[in-house]
Amino acid sequence: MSEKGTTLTVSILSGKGGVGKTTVAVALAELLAAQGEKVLLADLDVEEPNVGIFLETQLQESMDAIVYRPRWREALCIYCGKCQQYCKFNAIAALPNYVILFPELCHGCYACSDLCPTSALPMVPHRIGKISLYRVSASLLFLEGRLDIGQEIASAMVRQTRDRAMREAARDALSWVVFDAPPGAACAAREAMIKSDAVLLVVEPTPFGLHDMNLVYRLIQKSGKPCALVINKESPGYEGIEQFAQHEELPILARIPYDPRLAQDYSMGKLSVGAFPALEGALMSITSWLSSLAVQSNRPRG
Amino acid sequence: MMRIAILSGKGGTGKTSVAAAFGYLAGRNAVLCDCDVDASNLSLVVGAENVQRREYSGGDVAIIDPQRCRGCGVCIGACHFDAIAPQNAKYHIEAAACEGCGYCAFVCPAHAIAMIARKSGDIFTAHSRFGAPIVYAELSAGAENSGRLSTQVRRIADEIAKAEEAEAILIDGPPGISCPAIAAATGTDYVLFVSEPTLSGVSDLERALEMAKKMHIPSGVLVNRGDINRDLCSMIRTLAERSEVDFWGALLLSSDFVCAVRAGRTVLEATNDERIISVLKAAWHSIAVRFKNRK
Repeated sequence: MSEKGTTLTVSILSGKGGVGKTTVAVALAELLAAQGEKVLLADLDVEEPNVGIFLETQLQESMDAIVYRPRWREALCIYCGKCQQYCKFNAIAALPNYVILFPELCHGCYACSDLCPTSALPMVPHRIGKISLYRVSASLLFLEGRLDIGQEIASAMVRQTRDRAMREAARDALSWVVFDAPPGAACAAREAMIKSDAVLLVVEPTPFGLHDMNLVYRLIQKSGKPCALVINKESPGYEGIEQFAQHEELPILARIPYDPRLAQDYSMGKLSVGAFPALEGALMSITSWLSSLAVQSNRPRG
Repeated sequence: MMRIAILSGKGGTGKTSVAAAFGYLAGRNAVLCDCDVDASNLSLVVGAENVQRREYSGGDVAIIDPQRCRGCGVCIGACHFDAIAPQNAKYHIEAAACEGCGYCAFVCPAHAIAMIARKSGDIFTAHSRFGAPIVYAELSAGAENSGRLSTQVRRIADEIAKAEEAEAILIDGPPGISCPAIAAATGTDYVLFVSEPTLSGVSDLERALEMAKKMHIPSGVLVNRGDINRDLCSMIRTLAERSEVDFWGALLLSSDFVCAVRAGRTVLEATNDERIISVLKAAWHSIAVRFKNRK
C-alpha cells in the first residue's frame, strides 16, 4: 500500500473511554495484515492495556520502561540549597543538614542533577512499566506498553512505547503502524497521536461522546493532521456527531450500528470481523481513506 | 461528611451514569465533583446553572525572547522534553511539549528565556438541576493531567461542602489508574468501581482494585451491562469477594442509559425499569448509611 521504506502511522483516539478504540485498532491491524501488509499494532493505553486480550501472541522480547530520577548522595552534598531552587515541581526539600526527594513529583528535567555544583544528585534509573513485543503472525507484530500499578506519570510510558514502535517499524520496514491511544484529551493522548500521519476518531453518538471528542479534536486540529470519524454503537435519535462533522468538515468514514453480538464477542476477547458486515465495511472505508493519504504523502517524494 | 469516589479503571463503563444517579438520590445534600478533567461529562446530565468560571494555571511555560537569543544552543542541550527547536538561526519553544521545568531559563547565558504562568484549564462551579453545588473542570487540550487540577477541584468541593454543611461529596472520577485516578480517590471514605463483564473490564478492574488496596481505601464493585456476559459477571463477583470488597450487584443492558444521556437527564429520571432503579438505590443507600456519620 505504501512505498518501500515509508511507514504510514495511524492513531486511534476517542476522547471518551469505552467507545471502541481497541475494537477498531485490532480489527484494522488484522485486516491490513491479512492483506499481506507488514503491520505493527501498539497499545498506548498504558494504564489499561487491553489489545493483548484480543490476540494470540508469542512474546518476542520484554524490557523495562525506565525514567531517571535523582538520588541524593549525602557524602557529596555541601547543603547549598540550589537544588531546591532549581526544582519547579517541589520535588526537593533542601534542609540545612538533609535533602529530601519526592520522586513522585519529579518530572525528570535533570536541572537539579546537572546544576548541582558537587554532583550530589546523580540521576538513576527508575522503572515505571514494561514494554513487550509480541509476534501475532508473519505480518503482524504487537507492542504493548503497560504502566506499573502505583506509577503516576502515564505520558512518559506512552512516549517510550510509541518511540519503540516507530523504531521497530523503521528497522523492519513495516508499512503500517496502528496506535491504540488512551482516552482523554490530555498529554497522554497527545503523545499517542503527535508522531502519527493520520488520526482516526472513534465516537459514540451521545452528548458524552461528542463533548469528549470535541476536546481531543482541538489537539488534532492544532497538529494539522488528517482526521476522520467513525461512529460506533450507532443508534437512531442523535444528530450531534453529524452536525459536528459538518461544521468541522470532517469525513465520517463509517457508521457501525450497536450490535449485542459484537458486544458479546468483545466481552470474550474475540473479534471475528467477517461475522460483522458493518464492521468489515467500516474497515474497508478506513483503509481506502488511509491509502488515499498514503498516495498523497508519497507523491512529493516521487 | 462522607466522600465517595466513582471510578472504573476501564473507560466507558458507566461511571458518570452511576455518579449522576447517586447525585439525583442525594439531592441537595451532596456536593457533586467531576474529577474527569479531560473528559468531564457529569454536568451534561445533572445540569449546571449559574456557572462561575475561574482560570487554572498548573505550571509555567518557557518563552524565548528572539531579540536576546544568540543562537548558542545551550538551551536545546538542557531540555529533556524536545521542546526547543531551531528557528531562523535562533531557537524557539514548542509550548505543547514544554514541561515548564525552567532548566533552559537557568542555563541560558543571554538571559533570553523567561518562564511565564500558563493557563492549563478552567474550573467551574455551578448548581445542578437538583440544587446541589457542582464543581467540574476542563483541562486545556494536551496539558499534562498530573492530577493537580483534580486535586484543586476536590479542594473547592471540600470548601463548598463545609460551608454548606453537605452530607456527602460525590466524586465522578477519570478512567485509568495513574495520577488523575489517584487524585480522585485520595482522602475518600469509599471508592465504588463501575465495571463491565468483558475480559477488558475484568483486567482493568483487577488493576484498579490493586490501586485502591495500595491506597488503603475501602471499595466496592457495581457491574454495568451485566447481561452481556453472565459468566464474566459471576467472575467479577468472585473477584470482589476474593479482594474483600463489596459487590453491589449488576445493572442490565438497557437503552434507557443512552436515552437518558441524550436527553440530558440522569437514568433515574428516564427509566421505569425497576431492575435499574432498585440496584442503584440499594447501592447508594447502603453506602450512604455506612458513612453518614463520618466527620
